[in-house]
Amino acid sequence: MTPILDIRGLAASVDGMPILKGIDLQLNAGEVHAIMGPNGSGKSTLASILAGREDYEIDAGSVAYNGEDLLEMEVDERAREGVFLAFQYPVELPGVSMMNFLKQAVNTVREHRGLEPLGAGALLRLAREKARLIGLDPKLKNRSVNEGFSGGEKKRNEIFQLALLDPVLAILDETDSGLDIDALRRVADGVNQLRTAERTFLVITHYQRLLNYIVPDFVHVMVDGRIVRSGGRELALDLEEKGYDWVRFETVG
Amino acid sequence: MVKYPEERIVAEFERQHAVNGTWLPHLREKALAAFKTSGFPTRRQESWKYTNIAPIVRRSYSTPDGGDADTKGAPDLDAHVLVLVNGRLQPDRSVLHGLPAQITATSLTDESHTGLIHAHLAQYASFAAEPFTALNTAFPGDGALIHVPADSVLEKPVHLIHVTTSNQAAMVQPRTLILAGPNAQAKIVQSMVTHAAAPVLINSVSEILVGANAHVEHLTVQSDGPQVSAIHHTSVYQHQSSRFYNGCFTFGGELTRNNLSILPDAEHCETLMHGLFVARDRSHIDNSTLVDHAKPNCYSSEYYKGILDDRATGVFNGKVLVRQNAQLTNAYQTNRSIVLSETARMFSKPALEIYADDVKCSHGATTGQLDKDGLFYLRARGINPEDARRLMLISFAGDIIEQVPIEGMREVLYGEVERMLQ
Repeated sequence: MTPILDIRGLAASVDGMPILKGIDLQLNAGEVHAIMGPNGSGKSTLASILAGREDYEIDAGSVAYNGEDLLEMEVDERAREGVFLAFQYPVELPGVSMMNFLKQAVNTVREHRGLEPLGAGALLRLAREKARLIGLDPKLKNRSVNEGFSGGEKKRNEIFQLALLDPVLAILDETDSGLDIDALRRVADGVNQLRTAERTFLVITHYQRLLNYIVPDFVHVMVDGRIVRSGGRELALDLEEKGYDWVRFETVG
Repeated sequence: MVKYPEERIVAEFERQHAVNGTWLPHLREKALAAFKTSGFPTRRQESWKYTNIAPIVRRSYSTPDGGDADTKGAPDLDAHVLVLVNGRLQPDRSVLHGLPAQITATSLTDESHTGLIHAHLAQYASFAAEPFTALNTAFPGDGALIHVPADSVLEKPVHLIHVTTSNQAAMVQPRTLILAGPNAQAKIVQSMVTHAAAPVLINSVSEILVGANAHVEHLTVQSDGPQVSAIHHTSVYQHQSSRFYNGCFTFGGELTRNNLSILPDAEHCETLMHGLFVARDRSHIDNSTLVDHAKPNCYSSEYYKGILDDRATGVFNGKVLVRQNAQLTNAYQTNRSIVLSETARMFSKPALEIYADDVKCSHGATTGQLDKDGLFYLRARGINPEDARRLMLISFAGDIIEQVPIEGMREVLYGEVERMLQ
């Protein structure tokens, strides 16, 4: 079986400073992988590179998505092919109405998949249904994208878009950061509703607590640009108990 | 023999006006004398520092008569329509049968309104310091009078379509006088349409009187090819507790200067000045505005935006003057521009000049490129770069367009922006 995402020996730098120093990671269809790591370990860099941000230099390695070279694809092409990044810091777009934005995004992706574009009414119904699923205030659809949204609303809006765009691979970049426990639980509930046998998740987080709600199949620990340990969900609990120094020590030892 | 552009243009107008008789001779003589004294403005004058009109006025222009021409290209609005061809009323193209009886929309040479015209024409647009206004006043030919008397409400807008048509290089000088009496309400749209292959220079002057408690909404739309240059001057006089909205929309053209000068000369006036332009190729678009707060307790808000690409240049010269007596003035001014190419340039000069001590005023200007993070966010949702760029630019313009208070115009303006961005 071809993995959905196959990262081999990936090394990347910013302004000559190495951030990723050889990442190997394989994600199969329907699996939920979590990457944990301390600040500055490079885990958000990995998410940005997968989504196609251009601020990084790829020094070595490869990333195959469904067998295709992901790094050769444009940002928007990746999204149309089913890669979705839930941003750590969703961007505010003053003046860009949520409905215009969703219509453009949803129909571009649908067209790419050979589906009929949705009319205004059908899109509105779909948006209402998904907003209910995620627990997003439906009134937000009358606003500009992310403008004046609370931290929790911004994160939920990311998951709402995930639900609408129906991706193959969803990357959640620190979706838990800045959320209180109630907001975190609601976002996690939304994600859990979107788990299917086909959809693959890469959940990037600093804290174990998100993984109490989004229970991963695999946990990888990233330190200083390398994955130093991989295991099942119990690894997250060990980390919570012993802290990152434990893996750092183990690695050096 | 070498002639200065001033002499040549005056000679051409005098030749044409010999036919047109002695309409308001005294006023015309004074205006002509003022123009001859000042000549055309140059870049040495602060208010023309970034706009060089020398190449425009150096050309030889004919001064075409009126006639018939279609209004193709003008917005299709549910409105009372007054068509002026080369500055002269074209009754056959005008549609005025639904106009309420007490409301007047006619030619400035209409003898049944001479008293009104003599009382108000050139009373609000001073030509002493404005050479283009002086030239327009010296050779007005014809123009439009719109009179909405006291307590009258104009439900549908009056749409003034100024058509310029000529086979050769031409200069036209439309003139508009809009009078709204106390408690009157009116919406006026002025749109410019040009059918010409050769260079055209439009020098228009509009004067607007807003009576006490009256509400006037005034929109100008110019959407032209690179052969058209225009100097538009609008002067507004506001009486007590009146409300005035001005929307100024410019798309393309060779060189455009929009002068807007507003005098809220009584208490509790409200003034909104909105503007939007899209400039491409070698277009030059200059918005110069003045709101002169002469009396206390007034509010003004100014918001101008521009999108520039290719080798276009834009200018915003916005002055808010708060006189010593004008306590408790609230005045706000914002200018935002997006520059899409390395060769386009924007000169923005917002200015507050405040002589009163108990006022709330603010101003700000930003000029920048499209937000890269915003573009990335849109593309990360599958939207291709062209659509992402378009979505962001239309949203940028939408800030101004959404506030246009005239039905049917918002769609027209979105359409113009879309067309300009293609």
